[in-house]
Amino acid sequence: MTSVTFDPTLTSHRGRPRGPSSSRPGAAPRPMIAEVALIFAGLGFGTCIGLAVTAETWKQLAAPGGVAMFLGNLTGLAGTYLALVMVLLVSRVPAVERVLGQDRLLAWHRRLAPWPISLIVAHAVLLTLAYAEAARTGVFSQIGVFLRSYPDMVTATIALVVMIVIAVTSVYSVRRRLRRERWWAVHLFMYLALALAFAHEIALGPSFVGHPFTRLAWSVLWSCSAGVVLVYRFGLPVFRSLRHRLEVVEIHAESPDTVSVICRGRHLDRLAVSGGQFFEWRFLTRTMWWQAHPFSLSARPRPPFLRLTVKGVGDYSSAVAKLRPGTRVAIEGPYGAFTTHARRRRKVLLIAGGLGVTATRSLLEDLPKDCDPVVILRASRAEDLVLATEMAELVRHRKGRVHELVGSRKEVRIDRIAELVPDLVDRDVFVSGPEGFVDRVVATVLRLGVPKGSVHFEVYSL
Amino acid sequence: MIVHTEPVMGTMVSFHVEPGECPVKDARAAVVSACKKLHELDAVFSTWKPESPLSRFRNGLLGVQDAPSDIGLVLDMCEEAMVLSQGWFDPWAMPGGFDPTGLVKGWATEQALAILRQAGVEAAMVNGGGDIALLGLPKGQDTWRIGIRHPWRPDALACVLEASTAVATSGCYERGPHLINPKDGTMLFDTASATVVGSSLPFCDALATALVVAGDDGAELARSLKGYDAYLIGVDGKEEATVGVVFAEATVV
Amino acid sequence: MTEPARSTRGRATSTSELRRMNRVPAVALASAAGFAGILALHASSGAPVLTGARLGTPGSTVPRTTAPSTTSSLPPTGTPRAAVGTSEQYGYGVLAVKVAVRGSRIIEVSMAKLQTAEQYSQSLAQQVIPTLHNEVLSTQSAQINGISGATYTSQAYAASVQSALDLLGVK
Repeated sequence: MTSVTFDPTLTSHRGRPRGPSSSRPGAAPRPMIAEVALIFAGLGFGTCIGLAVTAETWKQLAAPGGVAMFLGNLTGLAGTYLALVMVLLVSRVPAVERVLGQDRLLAWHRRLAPWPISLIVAHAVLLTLAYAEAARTGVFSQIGVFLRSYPDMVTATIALVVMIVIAVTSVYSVRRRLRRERWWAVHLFMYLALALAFAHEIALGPSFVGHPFTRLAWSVLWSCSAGVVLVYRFGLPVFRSLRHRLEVVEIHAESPDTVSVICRGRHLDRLAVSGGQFFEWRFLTRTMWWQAHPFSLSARPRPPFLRLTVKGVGDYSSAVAKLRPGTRVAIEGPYGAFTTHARRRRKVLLIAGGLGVTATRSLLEDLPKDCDPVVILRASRAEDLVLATEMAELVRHRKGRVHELVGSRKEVRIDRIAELVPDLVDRDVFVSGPEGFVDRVVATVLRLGVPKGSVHFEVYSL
Repeated sequence: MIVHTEPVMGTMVSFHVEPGECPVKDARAAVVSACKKLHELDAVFSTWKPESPLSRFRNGLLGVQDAPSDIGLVLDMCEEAMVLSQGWFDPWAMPGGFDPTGLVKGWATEQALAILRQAGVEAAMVNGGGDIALLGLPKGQDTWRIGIRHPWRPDALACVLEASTAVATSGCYERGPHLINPKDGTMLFDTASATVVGSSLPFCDALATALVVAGDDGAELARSLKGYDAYLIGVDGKEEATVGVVFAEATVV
Repeated sequence: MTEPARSTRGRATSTSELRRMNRVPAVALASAAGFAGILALHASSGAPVLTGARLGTPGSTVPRTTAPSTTSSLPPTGTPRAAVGTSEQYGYGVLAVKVAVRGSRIIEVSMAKLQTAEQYSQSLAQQVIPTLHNEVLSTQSAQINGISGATYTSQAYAASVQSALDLLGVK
């Protein structure tokens, strides 16, 4: 069993790791891809509204139940389209994720969430009322007619119920009480719900019946989205895991509660990673195989080795410390926009709080020699300053400086940044650490005059 | 028997001619002449050719005095049909302006038959896309047997009627799609198909259209018609026929 | 990086501010463009938005003009051949026309397929297809001289006929 250390001096003068086979640098993000994707998302939304409107006539609106019918169709189209957008936001397409960052995509996903579910519920209610009025029957008998006589309505209703359950479990007060794995298992059923609902859209939607082109376009849209999810959410990770065949080789204690896990794998020279990125790790033990947790690499890969550094704060992270060498590992990724590619300017300031040092550590390796790095390491206690020696070595190599700020929040005020880094406004600032910490630092840094585009951050939650 | 099918007026007009005493050569020439007439009328009354006299008329670019006399004739017939149908046939109320299509096809078919009659043929049937004009009697039969297309079974007949002069049928298709949303919602008498039998094909045509549009009131309108008989089929399968409608057996022994 | 937590409830934090969608104007503009595009597409195909006119109403279709076929003075020769034209959307459903020719003369035109949403809605509404008293299920078996039926929207009908004629090699 080899003891592997990540010797920071194993870096060439250009900051790239020297070694028999160096790992590939991560692909540079192309912001245009994300812009184009967003434009298309907007176009699609407008198209859906247009389809609903053009499927309508004044005469139909004037008929009994006409307005409710129109609104029901409109909400159905719009709500389903937004549901599609929701799925695509978290489909982890690397080209998009590199630009926007998974945290931002997840934030958008959460912000958008109330809309599709509200629209779809409204759709069901409005159309039930509309049909009941048009056919002059009661609401309940109308529901019966839907379920008995109209094609694919049973599956659509099941889909609706599933969506409502998912929505309810995702409400903060409910989600808080649920174990994460239970919540996640329920949430995954959204794919099933969307698949079940598809048939009734095609069979009954007024924009689709008798309009083969629209029907085709909708079908293609959904098939492609399903394809994207299958490939990037499931296919690519499986492929990567199978290709690299990672296994744990060593657990190395960095501090009383923090360990570094070193994994070995095949073909790691072909894994393109940028410093600062993270993977979703799935340790294949009996108890942990079904969970994937994100951890940053705490150094660039040194084929055949990878390193991650984990702090034991909960059941899962504590279990990581107890992993036995030889444990197989499946990975998804790399993800993250906290990379050197995000830089706008030459000089940098890296601020790492607590375990935030892991992303900063690997990011530093990617930074060029002339970046004149100033690194601020912040921890409550001295023993929490993990990887400090490596950081110091890397920084010294680049002729920068490190400041270690140890102490409680009362003792150490974050405004000290201004005096520690006089040319703060000329630097790109990278902040990583717990949420509260990142928040305070970012607010301070913005207040001190750093332009928004030059502030980059990665938030950890404990 | 001379059989000929001519694509014109956006549909197929078929001719079945029994020359009888008339020389076959003349009968054929009459068919050619009738087709020519149909094309002429098509050119005048086409609503989708902006340069046709009717299009120019309905856009106000052509006054009725300057228009071909056929247009004046059709205008008069439309007014008469409107009265006869108690307002349910109203070509002025169509979106896009005055649209006599519901009557013109029947009239054109009748004009074609007139040419054949003038040529002296013994019997003829001109079927202008469902509007049928009849002359004489078919060989070996004592009446023309006309099948009425089934409203919801594509290859079936609703019934077989006996007719001697003119038959026209109109259906829901022209009313507009209900799609799968029951817009109107009523399950009362809603007309799927209306067939009118009478002496003048253009009026049969207009009345058939009127009866479909009339919906619930169609049965009453049908009963009030003099000189025309109607057979109505509701979307629920309910059938109504005035006394003059004669049903025939599908097969003759 | 462990899973990013939801930003502290309610309070607008600086990180959430940085994450905010500053691309909203571009997306909104794209939506408006998509909407306008569909309206323009709809209008250009002949049906103004929200009026009574729908695509495929008899008044608005443009049937293809076919040249008048010349009647030959010779009796029709050759064995009859038939072809079914393409299925055409006619706004209320789908139809396909079967054309039989002998030589270059059309001898019969019949409906090979007719599927209307109307029928579909009827069958749904009634769950049982009503039977008519005198109905004849096969036109073939009936001894009739002609069929009277409602005309279909001409464009689709003519297009299907034309394609059948093309298949048969008749002009």
